[in-house]
Amino acid sequence: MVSLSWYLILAAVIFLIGVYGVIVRKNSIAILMSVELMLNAVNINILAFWHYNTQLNGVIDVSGMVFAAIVIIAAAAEAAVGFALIISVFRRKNSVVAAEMNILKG
Amino acid sequence: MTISKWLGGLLSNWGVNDSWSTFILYLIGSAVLGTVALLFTLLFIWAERKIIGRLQDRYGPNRVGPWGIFQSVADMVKIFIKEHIIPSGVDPGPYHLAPIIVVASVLMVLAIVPLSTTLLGSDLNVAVLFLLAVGGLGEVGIIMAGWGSNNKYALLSAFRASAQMISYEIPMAIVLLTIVILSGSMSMNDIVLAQDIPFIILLPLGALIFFIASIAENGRAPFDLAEAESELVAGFNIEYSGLKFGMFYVADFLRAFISAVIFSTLFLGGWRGPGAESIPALGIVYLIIKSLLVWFLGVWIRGSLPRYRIDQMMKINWKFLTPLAILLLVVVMLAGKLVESAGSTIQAFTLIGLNLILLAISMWILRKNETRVEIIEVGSRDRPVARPDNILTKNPRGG
Amino acid sequence: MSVQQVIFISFALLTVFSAIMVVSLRNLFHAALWLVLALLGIASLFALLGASFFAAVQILVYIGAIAILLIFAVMLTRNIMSDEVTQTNRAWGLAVLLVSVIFFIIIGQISSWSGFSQPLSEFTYTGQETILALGKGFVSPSGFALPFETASVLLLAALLGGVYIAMDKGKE
Repeated sequence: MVSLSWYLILAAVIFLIGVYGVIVRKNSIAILMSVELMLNAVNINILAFWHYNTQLNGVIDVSGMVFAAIVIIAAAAEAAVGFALIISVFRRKNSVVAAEMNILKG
Repeated sequence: MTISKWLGGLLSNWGVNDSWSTFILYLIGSAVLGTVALLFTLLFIWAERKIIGRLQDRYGPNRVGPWGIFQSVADMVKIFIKEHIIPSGVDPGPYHLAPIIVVASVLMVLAIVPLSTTLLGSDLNVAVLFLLAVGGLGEVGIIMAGWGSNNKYALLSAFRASAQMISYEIPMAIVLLTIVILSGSMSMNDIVLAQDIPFIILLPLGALIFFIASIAENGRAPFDLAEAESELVAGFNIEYSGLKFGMFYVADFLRAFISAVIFSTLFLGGWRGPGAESIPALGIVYLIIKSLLVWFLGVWIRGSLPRYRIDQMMKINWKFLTPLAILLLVVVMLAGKLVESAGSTIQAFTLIGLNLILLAISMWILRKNETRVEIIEVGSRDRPVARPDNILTKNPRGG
Repeated sequence: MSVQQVIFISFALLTVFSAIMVVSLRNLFHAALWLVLALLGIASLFALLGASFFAAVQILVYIGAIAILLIFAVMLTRNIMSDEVTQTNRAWGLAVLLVSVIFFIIIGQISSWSGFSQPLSEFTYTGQETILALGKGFVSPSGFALPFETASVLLLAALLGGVYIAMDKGKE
């Protein structure tokens, strides 16, 4: 039997790979990809706990599923706005490197 | 069913435990289904070429075997022994994986189609979503092909194809939602069981939208912009040769038939027909007959209509199909709630009436807003028409 | 070892490997393709958890929409940052250290919890029950109708904002 710990460890690993990507990557598109990985790791956790709760109580746990759905919705919104921003910055500065996005700097 | 029971018994005799034998049985089942579908494709390719040939006033394949029926076998042999040319500068990973992903995304749809009362791959509880999700996988395959080929025409074509597929998924998904509302379930089997009256009668407008969207999703004429020869050479598979090209080719023809199968499952009652409940084998026959009808309609359209321009294609989707589908969804929701307590006949008539009214209104709006193309007559003199009985053009040698 | 364990381990290894490729490859297009594979692996883990709805939605939304969007963005901005240039900043050693420290802290914390090694049995809900429960939860006023509406407003706002920001506002 697959136990809860397997899912939790896997989610932690994927989340931290995402964190590493966000810290280390220069390209802003790559940073967004890493953010997607982190969001997915969160979803693994949420659904694993949803399964656990459902199994424990014997009733289908709605809140876990609602949480996971809202994470997916937020991810879609984030991707849309994020890419729009990247394209916009790309038009102005001809660059996608996150460190060079310093228009707001005085 | 009996075969799978027998195999299961055999495996448990060999000391394989239960869950493993289920796993192995699923593997065998999917292999059989995939192989049969791919073999059937040979026949479909031949039939489609023959029908298109007849529609265009030529014979079509007629050399190999009676009525040219072994033409696709000969083509297959040719493709197998052809040299596989890999252009320089391709991106090897995506280039080699793309045909496999495209074929797999087509074959995966078969897993959820109920073939008869007892025979179905997997009674997935989210089959309708699975249908759309698999389409998304196909898009990834096409983009990989376009990118990996290192060819600008292939890339342009892949962009067109993926934009088209993403756009036309939307009206398709909304029509699927109306079906889910009517049947109360997302599982294909439940949808088939709910069709005491086939949904094409209850939702003629929905069936029309779904049919157009599925033609566009398959990228077939009149929506075959991705392979517009005059603009893009041959589509996203230009740089492929030999067996890899063959895989794209097979995927193209197979997708046409499988979307016909999906249409007949969703709208024509799938395997249902007189006596299908008691004799499961009859169900498969009914399903294939219904799908062949739908498939023939698609081929007919392919042979008759000219190709749309890319802006027209986008306009058809975003300004016509999508709003209409949303309207249909709202109407079906409200009507379903209003006449919920009435008898099933009244419900059916309400739905049909509302569908037809919507269709009429949308056609009226279209008619109202159509831009008439000025027909410019070049040359006013009547010119002799080349006919055997025309004295002016009559050729003594018979021309 | 049971089938579930074998399937879990193979998909988990696949997912972790492709996630590592996503953050380490220089070629961004390849990174995006590995991201697709990682998302596919995660979708199959959802299916293994009995959340088939989320497995399908994961493929539909992430692979069908977000990954395609990513690939488009990579292609649009490609010739700016060539693949030969190093794609990571100087802090990568520090980042590895930080990440592994956080990992051990997290695992150390949650492994002391009693439910940590609770085996997850297979679900008996294979029909429409979970989806019906989710749908009812979303629309019932005593459930999650308000978050659902808020999420739809968020999506609309993101759509409009995305169109507005990316719009070419003439040549300045």
